[in-house]
Amino acid sequence: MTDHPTPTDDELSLVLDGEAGDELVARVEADPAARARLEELRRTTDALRASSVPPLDDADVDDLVATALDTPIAPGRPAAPSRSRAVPWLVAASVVVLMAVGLALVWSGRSTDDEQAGSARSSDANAEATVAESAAGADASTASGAGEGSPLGGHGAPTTVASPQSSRTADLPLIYLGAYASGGQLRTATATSFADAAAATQAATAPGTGSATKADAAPAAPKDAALDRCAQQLQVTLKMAAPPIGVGYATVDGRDVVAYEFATTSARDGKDTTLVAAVGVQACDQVVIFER
Amino acid sequence: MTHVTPLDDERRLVDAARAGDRRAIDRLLRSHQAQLHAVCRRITGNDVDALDATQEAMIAIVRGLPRFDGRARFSTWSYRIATNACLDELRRRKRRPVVGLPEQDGVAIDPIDPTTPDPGDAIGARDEIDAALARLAPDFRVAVVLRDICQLDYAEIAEVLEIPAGTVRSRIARGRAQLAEILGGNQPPADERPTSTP
Repeated sequence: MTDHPTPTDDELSLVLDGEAGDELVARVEADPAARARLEELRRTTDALRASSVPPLDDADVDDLVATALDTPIAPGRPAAPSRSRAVPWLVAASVVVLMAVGLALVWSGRSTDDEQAGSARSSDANAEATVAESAAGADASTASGAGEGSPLGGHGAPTTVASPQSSRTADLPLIYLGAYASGGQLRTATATSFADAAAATQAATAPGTGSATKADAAPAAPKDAALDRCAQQLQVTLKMAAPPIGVGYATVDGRDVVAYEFATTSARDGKDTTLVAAVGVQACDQVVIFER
Repeated sequence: MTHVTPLDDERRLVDAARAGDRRAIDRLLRSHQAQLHAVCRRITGNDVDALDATQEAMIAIVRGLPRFDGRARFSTWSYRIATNACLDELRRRKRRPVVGLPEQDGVAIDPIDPTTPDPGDAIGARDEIDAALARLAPDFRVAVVLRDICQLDYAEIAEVLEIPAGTVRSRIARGRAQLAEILGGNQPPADERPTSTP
């Protein structure tokens, strides 16, 4: 006669979850003590499953989603403001300042006078830095734990941001990256370097390839003021320590886009990497942002 | 409210979201908010931390979408993010003064005070479950929540937690055994029963 050991809790859990083999199921069935223990565990899991979590209010859901959508989509962001500790008036004040900054940025972007744009940029940049710092201040109670030991962690971003006034794109070669149907395609094309994307575009539109179309023709390059404006905005919102090291332009779904390369540190492994950020020329709104 | 999204629709939605379509991201977050919040509520054990963790998870999802390669199901990937956000929240909470949680395996567990809520009452039962889960070590709690609340299978939990399936099995079993002890209050002590095969 074979003496079977009493099934363990590990084994009973397998039975409970339908992950046990026939032999184990039979062994449990044949053992009254095991059957009793199985029932006990089953009551526990039933109680757990039956105890529902109350759903969030619609207003809370709206708030959660809006905050997530409004967050700059880039590594390096500190922990989200603790909702339980957020200061409502500070948020309201930040919104007012951001609106003012946005209006000023639109105004400066429409200016064709570089000197005038440069002047506006200086004051705008200071205002943006203030907003960023106040947001960082609001985060202070939770930012220290952001991403500790977590794959979701930050990007090794500095706690202070270099003055956006140091942002310069004028000295960088402006590279035409091509025309794409989506941000995802632009991302794929620029996954290794802007130069590779430009080379692929040139090859595809070269005479004799038969692939050149009117849509492939390079659009007019963005003005320096627009390039600097978005570069400065991104440097602040993405908390980049230094100005971009590369700049290009493209069209995505018919829309004019500027793209930047920022040297930074990867959140994944702490190694040096490049953050690519492509935004709409008009409003500097995100098209695609990723880390190489 | 639970949103049910057919797989193909979700795949299209995820593709659009990855490409930066804000409406798609909005829909994706809304369709998964209930599950994300439920897992956070169960792991953190209170509404405030759950809301913070859910917010962190949503932000991390938006930030991580460009890197989501589609090899895992979106729900599995988002559970992983939510779980990490919750564990981060627990670490932060640990630095604040709180009622102590057992941190080591095999720690003696006090049964819940029998004077607390009527088991027949839904809110009372929820509080009782919360209190029982809070007594589990975080590793066990997460495994049990992913299995019994999120109803992920062992392989999916292993993927979410990035641990071997055998460890998943062990954590679920030990977590359930401790829960049974806490909720029952009259079972034999854990050390009188084998929890794994010798």
